[in-house]
Amino acid sequence: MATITVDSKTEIGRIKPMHCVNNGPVKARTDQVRGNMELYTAAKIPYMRNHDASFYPGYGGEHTVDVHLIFSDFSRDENDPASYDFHLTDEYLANTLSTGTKIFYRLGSKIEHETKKYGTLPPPDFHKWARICEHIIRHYNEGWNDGHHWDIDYWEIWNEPDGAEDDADPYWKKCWGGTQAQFFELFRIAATHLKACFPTLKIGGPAVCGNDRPWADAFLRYCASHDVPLDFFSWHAYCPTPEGILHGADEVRKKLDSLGYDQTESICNEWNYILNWDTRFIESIETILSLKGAAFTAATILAAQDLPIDMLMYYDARPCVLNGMFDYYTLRALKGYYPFVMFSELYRLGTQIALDCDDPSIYAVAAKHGADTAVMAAYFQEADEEKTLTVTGLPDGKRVYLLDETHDFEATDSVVRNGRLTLSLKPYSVLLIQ
Amino acid sequence: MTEIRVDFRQKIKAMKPLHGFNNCARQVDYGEILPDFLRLRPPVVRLHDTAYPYGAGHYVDVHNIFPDFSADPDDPAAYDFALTDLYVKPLCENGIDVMYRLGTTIEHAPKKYHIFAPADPEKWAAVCEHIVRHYRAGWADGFSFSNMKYWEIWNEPDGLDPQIEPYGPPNWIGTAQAYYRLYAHTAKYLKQRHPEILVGGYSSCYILGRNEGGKWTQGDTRFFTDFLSFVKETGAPLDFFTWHGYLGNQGTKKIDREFGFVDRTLNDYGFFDTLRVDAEWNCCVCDVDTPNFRDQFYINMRNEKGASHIAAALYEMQRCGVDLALFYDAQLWKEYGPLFHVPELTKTKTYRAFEQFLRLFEAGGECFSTQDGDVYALAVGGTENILALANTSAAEQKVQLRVSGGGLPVRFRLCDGRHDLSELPLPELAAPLVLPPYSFCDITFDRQPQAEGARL
Repeated sequence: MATITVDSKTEIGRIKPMHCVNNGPVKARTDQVRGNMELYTAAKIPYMRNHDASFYPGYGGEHTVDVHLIFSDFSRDENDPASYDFHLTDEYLANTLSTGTKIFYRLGSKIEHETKKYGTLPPPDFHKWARICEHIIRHYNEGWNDGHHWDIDYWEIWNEPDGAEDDADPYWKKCWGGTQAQFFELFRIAATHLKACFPTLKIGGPAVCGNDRPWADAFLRYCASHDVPLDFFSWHAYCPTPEGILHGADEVRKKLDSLGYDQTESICNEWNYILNWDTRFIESIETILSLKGAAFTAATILAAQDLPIDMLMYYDARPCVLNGMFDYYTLRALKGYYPFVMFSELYRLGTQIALDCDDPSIYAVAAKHGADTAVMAAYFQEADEEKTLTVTGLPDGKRVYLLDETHDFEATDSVVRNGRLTLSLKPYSVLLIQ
Repeated sequence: MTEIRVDFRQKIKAMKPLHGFNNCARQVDYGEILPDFLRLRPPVVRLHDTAYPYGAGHYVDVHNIFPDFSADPDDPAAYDFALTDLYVKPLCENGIDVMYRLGTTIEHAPKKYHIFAPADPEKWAAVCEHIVRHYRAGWADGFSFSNMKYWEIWNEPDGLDPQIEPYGPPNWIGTAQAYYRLYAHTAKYLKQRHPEILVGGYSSCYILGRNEGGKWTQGDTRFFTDFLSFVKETGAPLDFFTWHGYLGNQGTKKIDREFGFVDRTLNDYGFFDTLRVDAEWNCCVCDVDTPNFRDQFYINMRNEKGASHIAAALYEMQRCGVDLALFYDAQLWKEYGPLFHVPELTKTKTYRAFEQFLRLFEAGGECFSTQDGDVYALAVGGTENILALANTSAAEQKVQLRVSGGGLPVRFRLCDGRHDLSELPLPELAAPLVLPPYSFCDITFDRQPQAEGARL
C-alpha cells in the first residue's frame, strides 16, 4: 500500500520544463514523407534541441542544422550570404515553431560513428567558426540573409566533446576530434564572441557525456578561471533508473555555484533508458519502446522536478532507435509519448505544490493554478507486482487518466470521493489525476 | 475450388536470380553485414539510396565520392572513397555481385542539390570511370573486385508529376535528351576502358507510361522508346535495362504487363541480349480503406499479407522471365526495409519468402505449373522437386493439385500468420490442400515416379 498526500496550500515553486526533447516534428508532404505534426503539437513540448537532426531525411538530412552543413566550404567568406545554405534548416525549424515548441540550437555537428570523420574535427580557425555561428544566429534572430526573427534564446556550443581521451584512437573520437585543451579554447573563443554579439541570448554547453567526470570538472574550472560566459551547463545521462539519470545533479549545482556560476542553468539535454551500449543494447531499445520505457520516462521527468535541474531533454523525438514516443515506420504514438502530454498538464498549471509519497517506487508531482490542481504519478520498479495507491488532499471529482497496457492516457472510473482516492496500480502504470 | 497442375517432367527454363536486394542489412551502415542476410545468398546487391538520405554525405553517390566538381578527376586526392569502401568490401568478399548506381540518391525535400543534369557530362563520365577503376583496378588505394560487375547510369530520370512530388522531380532535373546524351557518352566511355563490366540503366520509375495529373497513366512511353532509339543510333552499349516494379493495388498482375512490355520493346529495338532487370520492387499492400495507406504498406511489408504477395511476385517474375530482380530494400531502420524486425533483428515473414525462393533457386530449374486466381505456383525440379504455392487473398483457398513426375510428397512447410515457413505434417493425400489466408508454402517430393496427374 502506497500513499500520496497532497498539500495544495504549500507552494514550492514553478513547474519546470522537464518534458523537453531532442528534435522536432515531421511534416508530411504529399510524397513518401509522412508526419506527426498533430501529435507533436498536442504534447506541448516547451523546447526541442536540434542535435543529430541531420541523420533524418524528414528534417533535411545532410543539409540541415550542423554548422559544417550550413556553411559547407570553410574557405569561403563568412560575411557572404551566398556561403550559407539555410533552406532546409529554415523549413525544419519553422515546422517546429508552428507546433508551439521553441528551439534550443546546438552549434556543431552530429555524432560521427564511422572511421572517417568530417564535421566533428576541430574547425581550422576557431575565431572564424565563432563568426560563422554569429551569422547563423543573426539569420534566425535578426533576419540576416533572408532570415527570421524567431527569438531563439538557447545556443549550445558543440556536443559531447569529452567522449574520448586525447590519445584515443581517432575512431573513438566520435564527437570531437581534437584534444581537451583545443576544445576549451574553441569554447572560450566562441562563447566570448557570441555573448559579446548577443548579450541577451543564452550561450552555453558543452553537452558532456558525464556530469561527474574529471573532464567536466576541468571544463568548468577552465571557464571560471578564464571568465568564460556560461549561461547554461549541459550534460547527458543514459541509465536504466531515474536515480542513475539524475545522479550528480546536486553536485553539478554546487560546483557551478562554487565557481561563481550561480545564475548558470544546469540542463540535462540527452537522457534515456540504456542498460549498456553493446550486449544489452537491443534489450534497452525494446524497453524504450514499451510501457516500461514510458513509465521510466515519466518517473525520470517527475523525479527531476525536485532536483536542481533547469531543463530536461529526452533523446530522442526523431524517428530512430531511441525514440520511445513515435513508431518508427508509422509515426503513431507509442506508450512513451503520453508522459509528455501528461506532464504538460502540470506545466500548464505552473505552480508545484507540496506532495508526500511514502513509496520510493512511486514518483509523483502535484501542481496547481488557482483552485485547479493535478497530480501525476508513475509506478516504476523492477518487479512485477500490483500496488494499491491511496491519494489524499485533492478535491472531490478529480478523475484518474491512466497509461498502462490497456489504456493510452484515458479516463477511468476512478474519481476522488470524500477527499480520497484508492486504486490498484499495475506495474509501470502512469496516471494523471485532474 | 482452385486447381493447380504441375508437371516436373516438363522443364521450362533455368531459375533466375531474383533474390537480389537494394543495399544490405547491417545494424549501422559502416558495420558488419547481418549473418542472416548473408544466409539469403543474394546474387546481386544494388547500391542506391545507401545510407539514406543523401548517402549520409559520404557514401556511393558520385558527388559524395567526388565532392568538388571543379577538382581534377585524375587526382586521387579529389576522391573520398573511405566510407563507400567500408560498405562495398564485405559484399565483395562474401561473393556478392554489386550493381553500382552511378548518380545520386532520391531527393524529396524542397531544395534540390545533386539531381541536376551534370553541367559537364564528359567530366562526369571521367569521374565515374575513376570510380570503376578504383573498385576494379586498384586505382587510388582501391581493389580488384571482379564482382563489381554492374554499373548503372543514374536512377529514375523519367521523373514524377509535381502533384506527387510538390517540390519537383526527385531524381532528375534536366531534359530527356540531356539524360540520353549523358547515358550514351558515359556508357561508351566506361565500356571502352573497362570492356569486362556491364553498363546499363536507367531504372525507370514507371515503364508503362507516365504520371499525368497525379495519376499513373499508361500510354505515353516515349521516354523509354526515345531512349532506346538514341542508344541504338549512337551505338552505346546497353548490357542491362532496369525498371522499377512496385506492385501496389494491381499486385502481381503488374509484373507480366511490365515485363512483357519491356521485353517486347527491347526486342523491337534489337536489344535481344540486354538483361531485363527489375531493379527496385516491393509489394505495397493496403487492405483497408484509409488515407494513411502508406502506414499500411509499411506494416504489411513485414507480415504475412505482404510476404504472401512477395512470394507470389517472385514466382511470377520467374515465370515471366525477368533476368534479375533487386528487392527494395534490405537496410534496417528504413520503412522499405522489411527483412528484419527491429530492434530484435528477428526475421520477418518477408524474410521467409526470400528464404523459400533461395531454396527453389538452388534446387534446380523451373518446371511446368499453372496458377489460378489468387493462388500462384512455381515448380522446380533438379536436385529436388519442389512445388511452391502462394495465396495472396484474405480468404482461405482450397487447392486441388494435380502433380505429374514429382514423386511422393515428403515434406511440407508453411508460412502464414502463425507459422514461419515451419515444417508441418504432410497434408491429407486425398483432400484438396487448404491454403490459409495470406500464406505461402512448399511441398518437397521424393522424385519417385507416380501416376500421371496424381492428386496430392
